[in-house]
Amino acid sequence: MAEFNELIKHFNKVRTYVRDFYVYGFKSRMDYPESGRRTYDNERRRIESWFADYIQYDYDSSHKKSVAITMDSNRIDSNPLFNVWKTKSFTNNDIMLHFFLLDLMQDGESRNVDTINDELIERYQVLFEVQTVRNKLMEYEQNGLFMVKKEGRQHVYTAYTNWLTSHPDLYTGLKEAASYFQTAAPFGFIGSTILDSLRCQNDHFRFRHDYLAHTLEDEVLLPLLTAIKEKQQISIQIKHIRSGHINEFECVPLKIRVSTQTGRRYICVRRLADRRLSTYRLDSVQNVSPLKSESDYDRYSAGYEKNNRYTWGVSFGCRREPEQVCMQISLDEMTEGYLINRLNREGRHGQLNRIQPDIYEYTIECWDSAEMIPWIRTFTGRILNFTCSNKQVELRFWHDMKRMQKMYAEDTSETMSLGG
Amino acid sequence: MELFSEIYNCYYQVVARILEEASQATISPAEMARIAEKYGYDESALTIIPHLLDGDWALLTPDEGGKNFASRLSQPVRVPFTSLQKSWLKTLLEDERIGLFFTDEQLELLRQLLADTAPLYDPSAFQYFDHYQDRDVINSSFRKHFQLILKAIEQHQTLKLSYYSVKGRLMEFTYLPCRIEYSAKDGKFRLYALYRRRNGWRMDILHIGRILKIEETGYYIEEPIDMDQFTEDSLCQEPIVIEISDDRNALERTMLHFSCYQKKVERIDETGKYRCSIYYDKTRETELLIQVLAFGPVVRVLGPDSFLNQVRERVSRQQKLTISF
Repeated sequence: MAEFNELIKHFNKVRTYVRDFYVYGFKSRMDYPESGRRTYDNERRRIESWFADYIQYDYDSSHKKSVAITMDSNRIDSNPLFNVWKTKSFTNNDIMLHFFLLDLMQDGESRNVDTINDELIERYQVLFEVQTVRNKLMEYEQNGLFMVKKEGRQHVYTAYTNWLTSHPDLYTGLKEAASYFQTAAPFGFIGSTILDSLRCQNDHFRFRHDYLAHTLEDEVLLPLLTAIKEKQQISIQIKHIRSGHINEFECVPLKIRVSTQTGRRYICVRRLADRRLSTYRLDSVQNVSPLKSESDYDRYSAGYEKNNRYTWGVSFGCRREPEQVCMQISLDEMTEGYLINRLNREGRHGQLNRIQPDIYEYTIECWDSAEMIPWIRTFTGRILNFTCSNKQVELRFWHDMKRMQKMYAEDTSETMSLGG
Repeated sequence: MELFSEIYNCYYQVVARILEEASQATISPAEMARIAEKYGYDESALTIIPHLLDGDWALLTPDEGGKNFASRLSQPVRVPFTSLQKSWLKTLLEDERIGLFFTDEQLELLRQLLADTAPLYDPSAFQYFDHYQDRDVINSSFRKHFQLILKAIEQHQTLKLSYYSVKGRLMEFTYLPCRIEYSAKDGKFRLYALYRRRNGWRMDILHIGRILKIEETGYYIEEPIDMDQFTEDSLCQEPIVIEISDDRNALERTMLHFSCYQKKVERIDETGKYRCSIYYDKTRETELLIQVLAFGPVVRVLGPDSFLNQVRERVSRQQKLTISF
């Protein structure tokens, strides 16, 4: 039986498990029929180890054990899910060469591979294959730790200077910037590795509305951003969230659309097959492969911007004309000015008009009015009227309101059992 | 550029710390285990310590008695920033908020240091489509206030703050600034600050954008302050309990939406529904109430009473409005 190892070779292997344990938190072994029992147990044990401080165990009604990763993102100094990025497995030679080479090269001297290998034996009494050392030097040159230049027929390596040695006054700024941007910017785990390098942690910042699971999408996000920058076509694999079916197709990536309110991030693409704009959640993207350059990229991008004017969320709808939505709100202007502020700051491209004292009308045109309904519902208790050119959406809104009225009008035994 | 690399591995961090201690004085396996337990994962010590002691990772030399170990390295290792880290920093240079953390001279120095580095991505590739429109404006006054606050937090210095209250009144008060909170949703920075009362410290949350003037008092607080305790005090006594049906992909949507809260989810086998308990900050109850209402009838609040009554009150008020219209 293979020995248990906390470390992993491929990030993708654990992405789904970590996300499920964090986002859902009630799944048990039975929810992973495609994984073998040992695979599930190993992944669960890794997760228990990586997130020990945030693990919550429970048993469901059929006595199946579930494991959840849970925390209030407002009360932590760093995203614990960054831990996954710090679990890449390595060999004995990898770790020894890491420390020996950095120690040896720290004097700033330039050396060729043979000299380095000789000095490794002399200083540390450890013998490595020359090729192993060469490969590691090349790897560290690509990672930006060493620079290389050619002298005659030989490659000569020099370590880059540590900024804190050359510019110690940057320390505080780097520490605070990395502490803040590790959450406030994409690829925050890189900020976390900077804090690791500086041997410090975030002492001064906390974050509200921080959706930690984003970090698990970063491996597919980078090639998408690279393709956007290079104006390339890509082949993309999407896993359907509910059915699990995987679909692969070619498209042109145009924009990463981020919702700061719901914690979802999407890639907006122009599909090559049907020439339509579509959006997919990043957590459904399994793989991205770059293809050739797209000569019409700027035209597609302009098309996106044109359509974007009428987008409420991520849907471009299926009609040629945008849908019209109108909501009338009743409020007390003297005491409830905050509601007017809410409508203004959250209403995106909609218009707000005062139609009479204490009554305001919010109107908007958008491709898919169904996307607006959750926001409209947040004004429950204030909505004088709601109309929509898409009558299905309007009917559904009022039907849902009736369901809620029925739901909360009844005094159920459920609430009683909770002490309510 | 490789995102998932062993250079950032937690084990490397643990070993670097062990080597650092072992370069000053010899270190025992128990001390190594202490470091691994503090900086590693739950089971890391079980792997790291045997590898170091058995010589698979020949980074330590035993002393004469063979009980303690010294580092084979000549000095503590300082790893230069990698290309990935530099590219990320280069991208941040395009973000106006970077100016909050550096002086103009330092920003210029960073630009020089990163002159040959390509940004990791183009920030314009992102569109934050639902963030609020009254976000903080990062101008020179905001920057100056932010930097003074950050310095005061670091030094435990009290500050005299003149700021506009929510009702628009100009207030002046002396505070001990402790933490800065940021929300991507509303794009606002808030200051967690303490003020002294006869029976101890009390906490206020101030919107930094509303601060008009800051004066340094030159008065430094030496007593230790546990900020976590203050935020802990505002945690609800009872979680709200909601029942989620799986219509319209509600489970997926709610779980994502509420993932930033501490929560507990159970599957109720008999009904095919889910019960979720959410622990929240009492000062933000209205925000949670609005979030719950947004899900409509696929989410039903079961308790506690105080929260349920607020939902009932809004739904009932809506019913009356609809009838009267």
